[in-house]
Amino acid sequence: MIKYILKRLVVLIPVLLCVAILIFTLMFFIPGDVAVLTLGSSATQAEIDAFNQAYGLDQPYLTRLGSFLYNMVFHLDFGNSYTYGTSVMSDILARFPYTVLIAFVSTIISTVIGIPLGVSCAVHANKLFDRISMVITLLFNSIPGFWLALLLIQFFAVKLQILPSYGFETWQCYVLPCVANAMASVAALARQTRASMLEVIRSDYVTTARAKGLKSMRVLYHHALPNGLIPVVTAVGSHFSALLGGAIIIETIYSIPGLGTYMTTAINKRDYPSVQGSIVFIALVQSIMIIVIDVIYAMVDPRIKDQYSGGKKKKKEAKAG
Amino acid sequence: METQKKSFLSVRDLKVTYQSLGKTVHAVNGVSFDIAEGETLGLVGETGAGKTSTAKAILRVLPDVGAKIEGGEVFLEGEDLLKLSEKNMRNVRGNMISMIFQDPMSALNPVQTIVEQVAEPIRFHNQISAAEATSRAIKMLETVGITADRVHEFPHQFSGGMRQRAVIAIALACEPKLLLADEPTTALDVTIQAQVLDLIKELREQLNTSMLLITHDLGVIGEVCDNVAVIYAGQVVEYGSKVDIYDYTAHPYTIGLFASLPDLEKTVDRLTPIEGLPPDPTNLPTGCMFHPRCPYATEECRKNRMELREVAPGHYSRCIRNGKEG
Repeated sequence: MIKYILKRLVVLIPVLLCVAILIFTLMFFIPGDVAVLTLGSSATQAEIDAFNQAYGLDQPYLTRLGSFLYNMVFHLDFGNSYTYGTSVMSDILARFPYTVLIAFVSTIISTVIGIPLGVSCAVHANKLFDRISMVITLLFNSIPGFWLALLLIQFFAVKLQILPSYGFETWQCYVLPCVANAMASVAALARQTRASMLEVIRSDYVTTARAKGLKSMRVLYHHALPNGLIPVVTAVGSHFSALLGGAIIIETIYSIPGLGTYMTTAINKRDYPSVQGSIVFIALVQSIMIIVIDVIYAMVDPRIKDQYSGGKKKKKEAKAG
Repeated sequence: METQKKSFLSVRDLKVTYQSLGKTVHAVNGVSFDIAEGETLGLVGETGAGKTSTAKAILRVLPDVGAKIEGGEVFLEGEDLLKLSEKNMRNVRGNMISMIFQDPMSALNPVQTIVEQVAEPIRFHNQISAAEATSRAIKMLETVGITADRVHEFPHQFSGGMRQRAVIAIALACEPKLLLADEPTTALDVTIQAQVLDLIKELREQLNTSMLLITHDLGVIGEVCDNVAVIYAGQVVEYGSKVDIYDYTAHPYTIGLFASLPDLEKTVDRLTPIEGLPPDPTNLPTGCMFHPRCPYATEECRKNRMELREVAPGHYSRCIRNGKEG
């Protein structure tokens, strides 16, 4: 297992290099003059030339790519932001905790509500409770995130005035963004859990468990649930990992200084180092999350675990058989 | 039906339906049979004849959604299982009656070790510690031929034959009085089939367990069973001792079944199947269920449902040609 994780981590290096080269090239070809966007339209040609020279923007493509990769690999440095002049790496690390917090809380909310809801819908399949829940989840699944975010502001911040509509200073500020973020995935998770549980409940081994004379609760929690949750683990993981890339719309609406807002500002200003830095950083976080999900997957499903550890088990089996 | 020996299990007029896409599927339409203590009854029939539904109805483990026991009685030592509370029924399942399932590939929980799955009913029914249940489970697994060094493995690490042995271990873990074996060898290789069948026979004799053996393999019946019930479209069409069924075959359907077996002594190009298809369980034929495929069908067969008639003592057939009415 540890060997498997190490192997996966090694594969990360070429992946991240590819991402870095790709995003650098894309930013190189994207139209728009950085110097003009940064210095403003009133800047003189001399100022623009000075800016270009200072940041090495007058150098050819390969030279710039080379120095970008060199600094990234050997110094873990993405350069300084054109806009703020600060180190991109420290900017990202300062903003990342806000994004992590929102991603984490939203995922907890959607898991804690979504999975039990899905399980009870599956247990009471096609009864009134199930039908009503399915309609509601379909609704939340279809509502665009930004609209829900605005509705929440309208209701809780403007009308009731019990929660702030923006900011990041107190815990109350995080309630609305987390809820807005979580609602769609509550719905998605509930539906996925329901579908997966329905399949498992019909399976033969659940009948075997019932035929053992177990209580229906034990059959459900001990036999059906561990199997039914296997696909849900992936769904929760990929949802969390998507949120770690920054919930751009939600962060913008609620003015939270996370990765999402950082990146949108950087793109608008053609702030190359910031864009490149955040993209590579997000790629790293996502890749690690995928490995984490795969490891959790192996922990809940012994069949997957055996695939990871490869030949070892097979050899043992051959010896025994 | 069986009067000499004390009837241990008697199923009377059992009816099971399923709801599927707005249609009612009549899977079991009044099945009746008896099993005496220590006896093995073979339940033979085509796919879809209602064999598995009958067994699941006895144990009351039909799917929660859609399936329904419409009527009938299932007496185990005089007590009607269909009237028991769910709580009391749990004490019967896995303890008094247990079931061996058809497909060992899907009958085991993929995320639990073999020994956990065998220990579970032992622990639950005997109220003992997990450690003690585990050690008993290991003994049970050794009895069915799974060595102690492999009991902590998962089902996917086992071959089909080994898995079926594990399923048998689960079924016999609490030494039940009645075993419902639902095509226990169908999913296995022929060589493994013989081993598993011998194992079931041997253990059943050791524990003096009665057995309902469901199969469509007449060879298996000949080897293991005392009595045979032939089931067609959810009804018993012929019932009797093994000798009655094999040597004094009465019902046209059973005759057809035997005729369709390949004969090793003759070289033929084609086997002799029973003409036609089993009836659609959402739309059963009027009259005798078998009349559309029966070479002897008369006008009366098309009109009236047929009752089981006694052909000889203890030998029953649901056919107008056999025996006397009532």
